[in-house]
Amino acid sequence: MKVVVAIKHILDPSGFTVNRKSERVFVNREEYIINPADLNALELALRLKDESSDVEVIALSMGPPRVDDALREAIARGADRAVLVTDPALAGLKADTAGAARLLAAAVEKIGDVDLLVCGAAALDSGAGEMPGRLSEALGWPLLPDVLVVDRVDVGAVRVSGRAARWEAGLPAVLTVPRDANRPRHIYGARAVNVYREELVGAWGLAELGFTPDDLEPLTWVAGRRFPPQRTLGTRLDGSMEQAVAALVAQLRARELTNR
Amino acid sequence: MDFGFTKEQQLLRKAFREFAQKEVAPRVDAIEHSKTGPPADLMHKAAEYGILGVPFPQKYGGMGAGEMGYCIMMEELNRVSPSFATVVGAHIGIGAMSIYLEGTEEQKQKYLVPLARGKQIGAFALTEPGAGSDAAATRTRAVREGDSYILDGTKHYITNGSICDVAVVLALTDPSLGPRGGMTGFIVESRWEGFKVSKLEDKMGIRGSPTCEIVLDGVRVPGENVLGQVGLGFVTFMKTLDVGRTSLGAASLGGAQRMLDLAVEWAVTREAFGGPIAHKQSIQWMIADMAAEVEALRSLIYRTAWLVDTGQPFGREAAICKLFGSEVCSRVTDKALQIYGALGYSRHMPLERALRDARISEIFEGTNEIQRIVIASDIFQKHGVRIRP
Repeated sequence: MKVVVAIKHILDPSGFTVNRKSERVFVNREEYIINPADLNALELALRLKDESSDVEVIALSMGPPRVDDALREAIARGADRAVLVTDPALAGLKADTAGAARLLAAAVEKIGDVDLLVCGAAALDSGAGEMPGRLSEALGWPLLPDVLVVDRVDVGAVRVSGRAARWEAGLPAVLTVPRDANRPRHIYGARAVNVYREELVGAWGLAELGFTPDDLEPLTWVAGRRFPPQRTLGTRLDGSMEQAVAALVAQLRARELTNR
Repeated sequence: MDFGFTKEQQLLRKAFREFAQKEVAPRVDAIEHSKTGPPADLMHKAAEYGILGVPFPQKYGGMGAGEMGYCIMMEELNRVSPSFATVVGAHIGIGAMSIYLEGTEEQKQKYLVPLARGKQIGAFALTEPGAGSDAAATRTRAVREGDSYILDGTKHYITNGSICDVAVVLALTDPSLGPRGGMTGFIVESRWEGFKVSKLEDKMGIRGSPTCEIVLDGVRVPGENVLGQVGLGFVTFMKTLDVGRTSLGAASLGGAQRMLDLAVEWAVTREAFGGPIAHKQSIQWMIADMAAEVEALRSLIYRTAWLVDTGQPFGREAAICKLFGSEVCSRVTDKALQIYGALGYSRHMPLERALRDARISEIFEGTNEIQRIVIASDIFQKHGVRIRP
């Protein structure tokens, strides 16, 4: 069984500071990390591998050549091999998530015979959580969101538990894993020592996936950017349960959030 | 000339930092108050991730990360818990290291492999009540009896003494010859009859690492457990200590770096006289001096690790790592505490513990006075002058 884990290399938040007054982000150290939820996705895949030796875990990412480091780190954590979609033509391109998803989907198809595509539920940098849905659409595979545990994978079907529901879907399928789904294992030093010596990361360009830059014409565009509003503390409702509920309902009515 | 770390080394640092922060940091207090060494589950985790065999080749169950990888690990561990770093350092750097350096292939398979895999814990038993810096005054006796040796004597200040499975022990095989031909190293299993832990030391710092007195009461050691050649044990033990010194300096580097980070953080957040104390020149100068020493130490440590890994002579440099590193760590910790003021003196903050922990590095594994002798004798030897302690 082949399990692909989608990995995003993001700027390490401990390497920059946000100045709200000047509405600017100061990057002190340009260092990158694997998106935290993607480590949970990898952990979910590695647990399948722990249970059955015929599971192959393949890390997949796209981006500039530096992303190679993220994929090798995924291998040092236990993945078997990796694929990096990278192309000099991507550097100046204004591709959006939809385009990136089509490209990654093509890579998944090129890997071939993939049963599960596991993604972190959302990336820490954009926070959009858009990619898994786009991948599901591009591949035409069912999407199982916010999976905590895979209960069973049989021939042709996967059964999973989420926070509020259990799902079953036919294979192949796309799974998303939230950040607190599990405790990701660490980097194995003995694997780290060898991970740059071996040919474990394949690199595919646009042409190899049958794409031209024109195929990545964006569907979405950035209309504007704004700093998120400063968070304010909520109101604390004291008194007995009845009093607190009455006060809450009154507030919701006042803000027209309920009409009951 | 290339002063950068390789990609592997950068990934290793990430691995060690992650282990230190996710596994060791939450247990710092548990380690500190334990009299029986770090919690068993933490030691198992350390073994699982290869932490207990970092410098040894993979064919002996190690991580294969060399001295460079070992120094990176000691820096990262000591940044979080000097007690835990001491347990790991004594296990790898002197306990298992002596077997790696001098052991036969059979001894390596039998003892080094389980030590490097973390299935067993190692210790290094050199010091005696009457033989500290003057290791040549070793009194523990080893008397030959058939194919075995019978060991009698007392070793003290032995890190990991109470939690070790295997200890390498220096003993006199021929009192008439003394250190030159009369001392032999032995690999001793702690489960053997006559191996007794007689006292647990109550120390000023690194309180989470068990330091013990060990009594060897007629311990029968088979002849195949002689480490190195009979009569050349003193050389074996001195050679092991030589190698261990670089990583001790690396541990000091981690401790010093942490203190610098904490001091900077406080200097920019603590406000006094209408602004952060970082605006005060007195604070700026302390921070600048701390940063200068830490940076100099960092260059020294990793250059020396590179000398070790590339098979070049490193004795003098390793002694400088230990000497300079331990003093830098103490000075930087003292300054950080001063910057924190009364808060630094409080047990609510990690600084007073760090100051107590740092102090040992000027003493153990060859006092700084001994390091100065090692350095000076190496210098004068090249001018035809022999220095004797």
